[in-house]
Amino acid sequence: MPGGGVKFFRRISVRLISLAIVFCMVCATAPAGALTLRGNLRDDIPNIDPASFNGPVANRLLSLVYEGLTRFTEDGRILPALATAWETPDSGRTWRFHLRADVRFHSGRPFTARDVRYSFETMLRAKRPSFSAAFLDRLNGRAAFVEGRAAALSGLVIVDPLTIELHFSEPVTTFPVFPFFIFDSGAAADGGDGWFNSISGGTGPFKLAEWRRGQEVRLEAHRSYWNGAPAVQELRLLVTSSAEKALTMFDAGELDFVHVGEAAFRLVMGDPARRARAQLVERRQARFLGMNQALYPPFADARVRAAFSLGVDRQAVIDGIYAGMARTAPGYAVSTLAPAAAEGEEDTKDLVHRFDPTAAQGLLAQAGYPGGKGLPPLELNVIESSRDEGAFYADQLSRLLGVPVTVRALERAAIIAAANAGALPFFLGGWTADFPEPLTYLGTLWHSASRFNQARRKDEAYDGLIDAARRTIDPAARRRLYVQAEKRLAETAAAAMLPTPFNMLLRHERAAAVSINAFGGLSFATTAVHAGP
Amino acid sequence: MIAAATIRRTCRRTGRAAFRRCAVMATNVGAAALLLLAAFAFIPGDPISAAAGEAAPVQTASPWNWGEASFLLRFEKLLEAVIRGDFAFSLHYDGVTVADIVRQGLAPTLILSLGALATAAAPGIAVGLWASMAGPRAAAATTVLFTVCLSLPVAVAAAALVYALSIFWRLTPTAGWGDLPSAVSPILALALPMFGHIGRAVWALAAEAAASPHVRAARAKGLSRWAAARRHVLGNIAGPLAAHLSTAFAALLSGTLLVETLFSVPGLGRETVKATLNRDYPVIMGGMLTLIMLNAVAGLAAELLRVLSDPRGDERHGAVRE
Repeated sequence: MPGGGVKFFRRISVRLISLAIVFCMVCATAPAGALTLRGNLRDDIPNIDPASFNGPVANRLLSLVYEGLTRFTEDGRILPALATAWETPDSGRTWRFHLRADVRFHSGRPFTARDVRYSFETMLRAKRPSFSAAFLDRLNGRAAFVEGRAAALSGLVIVDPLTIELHFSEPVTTFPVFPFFIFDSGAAADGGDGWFNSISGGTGPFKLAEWRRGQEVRLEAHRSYWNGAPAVQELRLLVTSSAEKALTMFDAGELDFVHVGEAAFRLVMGDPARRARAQLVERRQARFLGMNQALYPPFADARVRAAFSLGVDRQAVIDGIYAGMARTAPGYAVSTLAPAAAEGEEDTKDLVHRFDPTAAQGLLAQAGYPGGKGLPPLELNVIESSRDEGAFYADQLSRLLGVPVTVRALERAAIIAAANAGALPFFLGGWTADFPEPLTYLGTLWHSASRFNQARRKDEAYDGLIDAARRTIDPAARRRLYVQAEKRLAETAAAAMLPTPFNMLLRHERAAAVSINAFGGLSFATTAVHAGP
Repeated sequence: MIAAATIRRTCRRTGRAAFRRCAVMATNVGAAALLLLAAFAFIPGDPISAAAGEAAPVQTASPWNWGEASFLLRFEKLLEAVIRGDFAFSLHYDGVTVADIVRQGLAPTLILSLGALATAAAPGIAVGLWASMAGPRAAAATTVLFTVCLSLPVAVAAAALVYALSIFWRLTPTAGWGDLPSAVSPILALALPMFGHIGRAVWALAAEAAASPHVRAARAKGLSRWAAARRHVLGNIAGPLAAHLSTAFAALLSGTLLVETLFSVPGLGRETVKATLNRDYPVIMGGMLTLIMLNAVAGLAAELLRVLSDPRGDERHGAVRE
């Protein structure tokens, strides 16, 4: 009778307690080893397929596992990687690469020319090809292969197991600088479709040990890496979608290093303990206010575009939003991505407007919009994480120039999709350099034939300069063309260039072997090991 | 013989209740699913291109590949997917099926919500019972305790727990999943407000029972306060309490959406929130439908427990006490 209730609750609690015990037994974990470093991934990664598009975070992660034919340093030098030497007999129409001997994949298989062919072909036929596929656009036989009319890429010739030749329909003078991921042609045979989820198929300094979707990626050092094994045995990278969470975990000692996004700079710089642990490097990224003339007619007038550029106080953004940890480049690309000018050569200087509200108001009046009168309302589209910065610009343009600007913040994928579709009249755009050559911005963002020409700019004179640069093999001559192209962008007020925040890495002492580079990737010391306190 | 008859009767009773409840559950789930489908079919544009972001859109045989199809056509496609129980692939994670994501997220979510239910219910029931039998001063103190707990937002509880357990005492990790310490903070963050809810409900139920003549008679005969509560009060409130716990479980399930996100627990709640931010419609749909089903199952369990714990049986009226 009434005792039934007691029995019932006793039964339930016994079950719940046993459930808890089973849970504890299942979830027992091993403690981390001395050489294990724990870091963060700033965002979740959609896939770890080296042949597919997977976004910037996954791309940087995979560059620890997979390598290309060449690699580049932060100051823009191209160094040998899986290729030891390369040459072009005909000014960029043909490229011959001599591959490194004695390189082994993580599986132990030797690396040969066959793997380069396999990687390029897999990438071109991927459902959602990797960004690098665009670098093979002019390769002979590409279209026939992609459409299935040919069984192999005719433009890629294996001369011998350690030599390949690439034949292009027109000169691609910067080909050696383009990044690729080369992977094991035997991996698919072992693991079938989706092999990359379970097999580490690269030659890089780290092997992919485990990917727990949405949670963690575990990497292990590749002991026989041709360029010296990294000074870290294991890397555990946790997905931390919020910067605050990552910083709390760093403070609690649960993470050894944290890649901090610019939205959290103030949280770091305002805290002396965190600040002392920060490593900062200038980021190779172009940021700008994009102005689409087709969608907002007043933007067709260069004076209006110039007025917008003159009307934003870049230094206030650097100090107020990024705690001083950002910099405005003097030009569009050359100053950050090309070697310094040789003696007597022209250099990039003062191509980006300085804050001058009076000049801005004057230009607007000249264009027929005195005090902003007559300008239709405008929406500034920004990625969620740049909401503060966008709000600041909107406020400045409204207050100083009388332009009725409001802010619309959306998640990253939505803004990027809309911008690439050319559907945004006014937006805060950005492009992280894919390789150290001004072409990465100049050819991608402002050339009318580029699918990432988000502002839908059309300027034949500019396109001509960029096309000429693409065909020019001499670096000095190419640099001159880039400088001219940049000047053309500045003359036509192509966009309001903005400050670029630095790359920031917080690291505890035991993670001293890790550093962040200008392109946002992680670098690892290959010698001394810091075992920590 | 008597035992066999009792078991037979109980089975019959439980079976009837189960059948009735199942019918209600199917109707509820069906209605919720239809509403959800209609909401999804109203989404403007093409989900696949929206999710693709930087990458070029991919054409697949997904039921979400509807381009500019009409509302009815979209609804039909989705309904077909629900009936087959196959939402195809996630639009965010390449080559991962919605079924996989839901399956992997289910365990952490169930562990969190059941763990929190157990953690909240045991002290909630004990303190609630005690308060119902104790004097006015104790009752006032418990009111304050319960009110403070139940008005505590989960996010605030989570922040306080992280500060206390992870940063100050360094007992548990601030986030993550995979071992017992990592489950402590999220379970406590969910359980703390729920303790207030359950405690107050038990107190309200028990106070009424405690005032009834048979309990007073038992006390007058010399039965201790605690023994009277256990034997005479708890048994009487078991049915309504089971119903209350099932509602509590439903509330905890919704709570996991926030708690799993805050503590980086790879459960269904976080997957659904993440899918919302990534515009991964198939996963949102799969996650929501699974949460609806879990809610319905909890309701069914509560009903069965009520029938099992109530000696009068399933009949609402005219039941004969055995």
